[in-house]
Amino acid sequence: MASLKPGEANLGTTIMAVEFDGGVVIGADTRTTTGSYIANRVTDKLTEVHDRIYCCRSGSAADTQAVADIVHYYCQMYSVQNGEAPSVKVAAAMFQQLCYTNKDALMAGIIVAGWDKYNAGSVYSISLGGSMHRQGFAIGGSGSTYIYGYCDATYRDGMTVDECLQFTKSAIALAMARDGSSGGCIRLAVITQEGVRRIFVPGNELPTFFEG
Amino acid sequence: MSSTQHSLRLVPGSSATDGTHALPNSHAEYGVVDTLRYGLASVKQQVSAHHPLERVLAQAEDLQFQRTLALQRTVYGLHAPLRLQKERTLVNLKPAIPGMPSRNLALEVLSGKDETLDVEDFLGAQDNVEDIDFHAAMERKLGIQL
Repeated sequence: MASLKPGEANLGTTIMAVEFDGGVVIGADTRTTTGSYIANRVTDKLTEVHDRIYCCRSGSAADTQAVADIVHYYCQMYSVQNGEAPSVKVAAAMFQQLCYTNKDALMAGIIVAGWDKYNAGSVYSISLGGSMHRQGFAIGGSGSTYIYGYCDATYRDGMTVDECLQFTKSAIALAMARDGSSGGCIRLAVITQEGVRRIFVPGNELPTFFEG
Repeated sequence: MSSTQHSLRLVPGSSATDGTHALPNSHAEYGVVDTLRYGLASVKQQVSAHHPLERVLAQAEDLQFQRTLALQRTVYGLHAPLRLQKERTLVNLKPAIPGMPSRNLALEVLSGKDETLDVEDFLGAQDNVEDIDFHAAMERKLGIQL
């Protein structure tokens, strides 16, 4: 797997996606760094690849943007050809093909989540090497290592939208408190059949926990 | 020119031939090193380090086309990339006078270069402008080599 080139922008980050009955909740922090300089403190890491399919990007900013552009283009072509929106699995499979074929050149950890009419809400996690996993919830990025325990202890099947939102917000806030590459604010999105609702949580309204 | 591999590669993979290039110093007719025109063969010329981006840029356009073919294959089926490749093959006509600078308008339209300005457009083609043995090339083309 490739590593970051000197001077390359790093989306060292915390990203998360959770399924619920009827859709998904996705969230990410908003920090992009080049070295120790924070290049963007209000980054939007939740990228649309189709009307009801979003991807959360982590790793190299350039690599993930390039791959997301190609998948966005592909989803548009697919929907024109087939007359309906691609399923989340189709978009995730495209990400996986790109990440695996180019695994020696890319550093991209991506979570694909969305709603489609065949499987309702789905979350797919594509790791650095290009393996794809369907999960009930997925976390990724450098900050995710600090919250595996919290997520395992808190996640339950069959949560409501608000419970999922609270879960995502708290998990990302905890990761941001411990990971130097994650910080800023939290961006959330709720994707359902009706549409995409975006929520912005500014840095002074983050949930707080033990602060030492 | 265009391989039959429809690949989703974004950049060329690292290969053993990294940094070495085939030099255009061979005789047009006999294929050996042309000492009269290019000087004695030098191994140092071949293994000297090039800029790491040089190899990427040289293959960028071809890789972009292969990616388009791969995407079209997954969306529309095998026929779509085959039609694109067929069109490219059809317009790839050999220049009437080998060695003389020639333009291929149809190829430029197909590859989208008629709408872009690139280095070649205002600096002139950098390679094989000089030292083309016009007579030997025409003899080879017409099959009347001596």
